[in-house]
Amino acid sequence: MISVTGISKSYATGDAIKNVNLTVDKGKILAVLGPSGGGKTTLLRLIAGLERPDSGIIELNGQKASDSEKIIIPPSNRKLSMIFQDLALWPHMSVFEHVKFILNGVELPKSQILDHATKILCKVHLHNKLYHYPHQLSGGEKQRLAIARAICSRPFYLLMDEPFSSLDVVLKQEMMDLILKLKKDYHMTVIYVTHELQEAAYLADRVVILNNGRIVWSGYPNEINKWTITDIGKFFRRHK
Amino acid sequence: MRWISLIVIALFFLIVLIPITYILLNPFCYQGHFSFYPLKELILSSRQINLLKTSIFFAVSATSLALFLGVSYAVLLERVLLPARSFMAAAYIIPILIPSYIQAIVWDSFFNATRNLFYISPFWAATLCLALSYFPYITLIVVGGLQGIDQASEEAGLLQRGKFPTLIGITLPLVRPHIITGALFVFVFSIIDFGVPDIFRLRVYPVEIFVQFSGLYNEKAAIVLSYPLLIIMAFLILLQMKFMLGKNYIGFSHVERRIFFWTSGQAKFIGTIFICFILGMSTMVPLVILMGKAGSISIFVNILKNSWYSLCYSILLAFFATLIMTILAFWIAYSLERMSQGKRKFLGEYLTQLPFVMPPILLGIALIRIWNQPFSAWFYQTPLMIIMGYVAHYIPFPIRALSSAFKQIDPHLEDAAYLTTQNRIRIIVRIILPLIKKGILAAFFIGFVLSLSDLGVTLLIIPPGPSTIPIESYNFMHYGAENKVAALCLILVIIQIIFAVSIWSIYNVICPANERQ
Amino acid sequence: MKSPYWFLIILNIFFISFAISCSIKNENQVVVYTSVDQVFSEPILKRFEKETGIKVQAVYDVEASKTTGLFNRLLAEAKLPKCDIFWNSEVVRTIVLKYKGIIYPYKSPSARDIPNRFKDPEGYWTGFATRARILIYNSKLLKGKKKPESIFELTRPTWRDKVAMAFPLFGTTATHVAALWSYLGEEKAKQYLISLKKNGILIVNGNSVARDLVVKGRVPIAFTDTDDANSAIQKGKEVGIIFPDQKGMGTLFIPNTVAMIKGCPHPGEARKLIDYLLSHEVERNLAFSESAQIPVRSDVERPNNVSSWSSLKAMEVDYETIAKNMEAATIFCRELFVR
Repeated sequence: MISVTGISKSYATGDAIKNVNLTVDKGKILAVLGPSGGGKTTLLRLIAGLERPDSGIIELNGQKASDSEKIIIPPSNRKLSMIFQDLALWPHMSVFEHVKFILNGVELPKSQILDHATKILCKVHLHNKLYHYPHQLSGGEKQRLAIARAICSRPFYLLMDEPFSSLDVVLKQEMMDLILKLKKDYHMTVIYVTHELQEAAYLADRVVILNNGRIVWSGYPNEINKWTITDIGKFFRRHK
Repeated sequence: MRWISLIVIALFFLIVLIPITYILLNPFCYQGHFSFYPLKELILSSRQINLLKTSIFFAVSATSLALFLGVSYAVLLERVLLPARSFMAAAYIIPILIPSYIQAIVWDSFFNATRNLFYISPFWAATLCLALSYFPYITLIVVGGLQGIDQASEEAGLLQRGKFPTLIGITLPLVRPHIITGALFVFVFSIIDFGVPDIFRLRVYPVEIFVQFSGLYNEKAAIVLSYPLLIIMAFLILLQMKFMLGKNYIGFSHVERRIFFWTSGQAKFIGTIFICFILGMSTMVPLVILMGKAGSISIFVNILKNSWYSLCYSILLAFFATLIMTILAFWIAYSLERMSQGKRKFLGEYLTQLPFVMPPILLGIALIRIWNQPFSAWFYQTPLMIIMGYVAHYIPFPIRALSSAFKQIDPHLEDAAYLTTQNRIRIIVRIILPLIKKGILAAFFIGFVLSLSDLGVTLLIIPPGPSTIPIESYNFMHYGAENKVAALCLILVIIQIIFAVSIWSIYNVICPANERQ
Repeated sequence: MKSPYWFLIILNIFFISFAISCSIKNENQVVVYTSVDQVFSEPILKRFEKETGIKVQAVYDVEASKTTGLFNRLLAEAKLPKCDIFWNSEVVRTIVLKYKGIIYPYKSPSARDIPNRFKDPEGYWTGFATRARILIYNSKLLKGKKKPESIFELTRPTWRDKVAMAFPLFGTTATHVAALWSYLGEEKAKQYLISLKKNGILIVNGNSVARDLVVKGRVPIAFTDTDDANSAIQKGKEVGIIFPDQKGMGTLFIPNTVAMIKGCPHPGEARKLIDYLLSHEVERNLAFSESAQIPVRSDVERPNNVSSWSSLKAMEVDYETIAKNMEAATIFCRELFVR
């Protein structure tokens, strides 16, 4: 369970997040919708522990992970992983090395690492590209590598920052199904940041809309499907 | 575009390659005929082989120590939120402003003073001294690399593996080109240097080359004896290329935000102590000893009064030489980096790094032989010759610095720009230049510092008349005026600091803070 | 940075005008390459400039410099010389220049009263103002102890690990070793050097370093030149000088030499400068300078601390022979000391 209580964060350029509260139950997917620049990425970075909130508390599974004083649980101990907007693949590592690097941190006997890595890469259909480097992969393959890297350590929480925004419709559908399947297999709690309503509606158990650093709406995906363009505009318009 | 490339290649040939080719082929012309006879010198005696071994071992250990100091410094600076960061980010430059022989003299007197407390062998004393004077080159280049890393790459590691594994597994490998470039610098500096080992009475291979010159006046033998160094060099470049083959160091996103792995706690404390220790050893000790040696203020006034002309002359020469060097190096590095892997690229890399291992006196002689002709009389006895000499000798450094900077730029950025304008020069000026500003500044700085402290080449080609600061300072040193040498050295350090600061401000003007995010 | 073109063009214009302005020949000038320390040579050249109105363009080097830059520069420039005069602080390299056909004979009228041993019989070079190869000792460390009178004593166990010497491959130390070659013969000279090495002689980087070791008391005694020793004495250091082998083979003296370059661009001015350098006045100035060079003419005025040439016993060697032995001596020393 991820619980965020009253967090705010501001940068020199202005407020990014203002007094946000939300909770995600175990094994559920929360979609965070909103226009670009609405503070979605900042929210994820705060939950991941890459940044410290100016005020408020972030709890993971009931444990305080960070507050305005300090980061209590360092990011690497939070059992979470993140898929970055531009994937942040490591240009100097092959597909297999990506997974191996993460697995080296998991307490697994050396002999099993290879086994486990192949298994996971099979799941994302990359098992025949083990020794390719990111710049040799296609867009979809890169995406799947990012997913494999994120899930191979069996995280409790998965944060996704508009991961599929550059994929075509078919690929995107494939990826979303993959995510749903993995979520089910691994019982992960997922926060999925996007600006596309359809994605949110398809994937999420719950949806919040973040605009100008505030939560302006929260509800269930089936409600979104009924929205007209004016409704969307209401929530997505940039307020000054 | 075409004609710029042609001009650059022509200039590179004229200034750099012709003298070098001349040197390399000179031994084969024996008594007016083509002959392999002088190559007999290559049959090294066991004594020479031992010297060569010492030299290699010496260079390897100096490089390793410099790597350790330089890379840790860079990482501490860029990944640990240290107190007084901006001071530490500037202070490490000072050791490269102090010529290595001055460092050696300072450390020699230091070890003499403390010889009752501990003993350090000549080998390790020389190693320490070289590492302390050359680690900043590594730091300078690696810092540039660290700042260019895609932040998300590291965060991805931080999230799932924690700080140390990310540092070892992601951060350092991503700056591998920079680390290797820096290591190559230091290796070359240390394998060719014999001034520093000599002060500590360590006998190294380059002495053999110079004995051939100064003792036996046998230029051909001297050249032939430097072949082993050239071969080692070729081997290193091959190794470096093989190592980087097929690897890619281009980040996929360009979010340039600074990320600190450690912001508090033990790491910060240990890091601060470590940095203070390095700075103390490499900067404080020499500066304090130099100030002690210089003595009173009146010496500075005196020196400034007598040497201001040489001072301006040296700075102007170094400045123009560096300017030309950087412009040429930019083009060469750019073409090299956009070349596909293969023999041509190897040749290019090799040729551009050759001047590295040229003993300066050989280069000087080649420049004289080639340019002391009736047709070039109009510039032979002018400062232009010195500028050419500096360019020929030091151009590998800017080229290397810029190459590693280019390695981090995605060629797609250029492709994108190519769609909007056919004008390649505009693309370079508007897209490429801004992206490698840091590399250019580093290149310029390194070129300037090296040119300003050059002695070997200058002595051979300086036109009669005004002399440069290193020559004056060497004269003082021989005369035994340690106080003047110390004062001159301190003045040079101050001037170069001013220069570094102005480069930095220029950087801030061309590249305002908001653009850097 | 909008357009780099104008910037480059201006740069070019600057360069070319710079180059042209520099290459405009000033006829009334003379070009000197000198390995005499700038502190000593520059005032003398300045005075010549003032007295004659001939502009002196000098390139200064130091003899200890292992680059031996100027010497090699002269060799490299041989085809189209740019230099008129080589004023060398020692003699052997000048003789090598003669063998290599770089210099041109000129018998200066000022040199008439210079003893023949300091002149090339054909007039290729002329020597003046000499320095001696001496032993410098630390008077505090050797207080009440017997000082060596000969360099041969230094191979005795008393002086084990107590002697310093500059690298015998360069500079006056190399000349000294070659002189031993000429005087003692190859075998004895080699034997001597081997015994020195066995006796733990400390080989350092230059004569001034050897002197400084004595000044600082690291070693009690060292080989060096009179000028190096004298500058320490004038600074009030507790050191003394021994002219070795006064009862035996004598002390080696090394004169300054001056020679005209073959095919030099300003021969007329060059002759005037050579005449001036060989004058009594210059010898006197060098004797009174900190380098305390010993005049070769006994009627030249000198300060008290500078011994007169005639009162000392000089090693009877011919400089040409020394030059000829140089290569063999250097090769041997390299094998012996560079390892």
